[in-house]
Amino acid sequence: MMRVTISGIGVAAPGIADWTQARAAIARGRAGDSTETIFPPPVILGGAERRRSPHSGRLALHVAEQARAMAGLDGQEIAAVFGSNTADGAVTVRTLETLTDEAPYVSPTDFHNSVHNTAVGYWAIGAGSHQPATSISAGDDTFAASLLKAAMQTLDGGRPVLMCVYDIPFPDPLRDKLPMSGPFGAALVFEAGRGERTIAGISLEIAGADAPLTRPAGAHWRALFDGNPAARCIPLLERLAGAGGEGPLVVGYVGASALSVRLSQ
Amino acid sequence: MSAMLPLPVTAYTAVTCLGAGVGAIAEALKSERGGLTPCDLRGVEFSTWTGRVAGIEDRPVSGRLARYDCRNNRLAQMALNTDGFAEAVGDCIGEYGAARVGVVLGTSTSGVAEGERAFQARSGSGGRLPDWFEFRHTHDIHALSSFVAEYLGAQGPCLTVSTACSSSAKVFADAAQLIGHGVCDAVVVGGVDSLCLLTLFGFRALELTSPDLCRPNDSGRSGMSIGEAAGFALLRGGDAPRTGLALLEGYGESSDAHHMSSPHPEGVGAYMAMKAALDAAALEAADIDYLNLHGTGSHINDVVEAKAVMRLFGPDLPCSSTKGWTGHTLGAAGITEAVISLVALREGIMPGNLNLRKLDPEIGTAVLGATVVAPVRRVLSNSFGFGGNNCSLIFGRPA
Repeated sequence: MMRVTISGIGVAAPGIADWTQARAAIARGRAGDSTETIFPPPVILGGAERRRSPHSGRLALHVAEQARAMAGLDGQEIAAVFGSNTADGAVTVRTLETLTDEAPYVSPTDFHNSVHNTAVGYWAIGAGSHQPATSISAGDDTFAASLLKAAMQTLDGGRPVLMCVYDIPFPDPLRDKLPMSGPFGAALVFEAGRGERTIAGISLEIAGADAPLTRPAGAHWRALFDGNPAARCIPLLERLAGAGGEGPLVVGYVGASALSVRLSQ
Repeated sequence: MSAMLPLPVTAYTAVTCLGAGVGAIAEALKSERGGLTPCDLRGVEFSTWTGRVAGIEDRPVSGRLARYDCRNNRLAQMALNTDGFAEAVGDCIGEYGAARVGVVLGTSTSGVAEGERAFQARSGSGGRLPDWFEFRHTHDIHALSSFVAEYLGAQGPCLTVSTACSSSAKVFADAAQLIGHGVCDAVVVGGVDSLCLLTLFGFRALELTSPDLCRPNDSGRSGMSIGEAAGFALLRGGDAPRTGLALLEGYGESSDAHHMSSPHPEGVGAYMAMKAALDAAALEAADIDYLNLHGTGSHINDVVEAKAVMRLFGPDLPCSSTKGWTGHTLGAAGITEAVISLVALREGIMPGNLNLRKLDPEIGTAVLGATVVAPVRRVLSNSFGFGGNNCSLIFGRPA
């Protein structure tokens, strides 16, 4: 059993630009009218980095900055755990296409944006953080792996941890090979103890393999939940918004075992 | 910090251009024979040297795991079948149960070469990708870890760390956390990266690869040589005896917060990672006998790393880059050099800095020319990646 607290939340999804809009959507039981997802140029980056930042990095930094600001923390104090399946699909497709040319040219910017840890790298630069940072994937269970890693890092590292999960559909022609229902990104800031900004306590436990995955209470979330690994955090977000029921949630699987979490106010 | 350090390393292996297994590595280190050769990869017209592993083409992944077949997973399979590694993991699974054995692996490009093949096979630029292309089991960044977990029958937490060149060093930190928090009793760590057009063209575009053999720390160095490798180690906690082959004594991680593809000019992140590793191990700088440098052979990495090493350890700590032997194996560099460090401990040798002719006068550290036979009690190994992502590991002989 691991216990940490949550002091910041960030969300971006189709029609949802932040936690306030996410809470409103959860409360009224339906998504907003817009289907647009926001990819703003990152406010924390300077001119050159801001221009160079790839699409997926913009989503990740947008939700990360929301969570950090809500937690009231200086970016320099925070360690980072970023989780993604696709990282930047547009860069992946562009580089693979150029490599089929007679004289392939992978631009320097595209190359350093092709690494999986591009988003967390830009985040550390923008936040000025020298703390440990990681970029991970566990396929469909990337959120569960990220949550577990973030909790352990919070308890071991003596510092707050920013966890950010994000996945964006690939452009063609990779789209069909890993179909995704829409972009989604979410960030949580974890701390070891309770403080002024604590939103909730969260405890994590490894449960048996047959514990079923908790699904979203809101029907309008289901396509996103079923079609985007990062959106597996939606049931937890519903609970943080005060909706979706009580008791433990199974947020995913770590290997064959379920990762079960409980919130406390 | 996790209370579990030091952690026993009870098995380890690697397959590199030097051959398969730790014996091949030991032999190469002692005989000063490196494995880099001029690149002969199809599609690469420019001059560059690579550390290519022989025999991958002849060893497909087949049977029930055939959908995972690609160069990267083949290389993984080769290493799993070397030095009795898969058997050692099997013993752990028998002892602890499959759900208590985790898998945490590093890779920077996974099976991207399969994606390259698929894009080349497309009919026209607007066409679909071929049906044979199994993205999720080959190219996907997590495909390697999925494959290895299934191959071994490990059912504990399974994740991929992909932080460029620090990936398969950071996995040791993940393993220590999983064991320290009681989630796992044993963790398979390691990493695999294989030759592909993306990294050969990409590093060239950044002017980081040399047209010649890499010469880390040399005054005439002109960049990296890319290598491929697969390496694994088995870490155990719980009631495993505090002996085994070696101990993971400490780890340190940091970020440069400077630039995506160049290190912090004063080596701030490098210093922090090495210092954090010493602190985690409750050691002083003087307790380290040999330091395995990240030492890529790029002008900037080597001089910046030397600044950080100088600041923490001074001018007398024997150190070297071993990338002259294996090349820069990118996402597998962490584990490759961890295994080299473990070989150094076992054999009582300090590897030299292969291909060094004249030490760069800007580098004031004690870079070894040739391999030295000497008692080695503790080794520190550095791995620094794009995005300014740094990891240092300390391994020691059991008391």
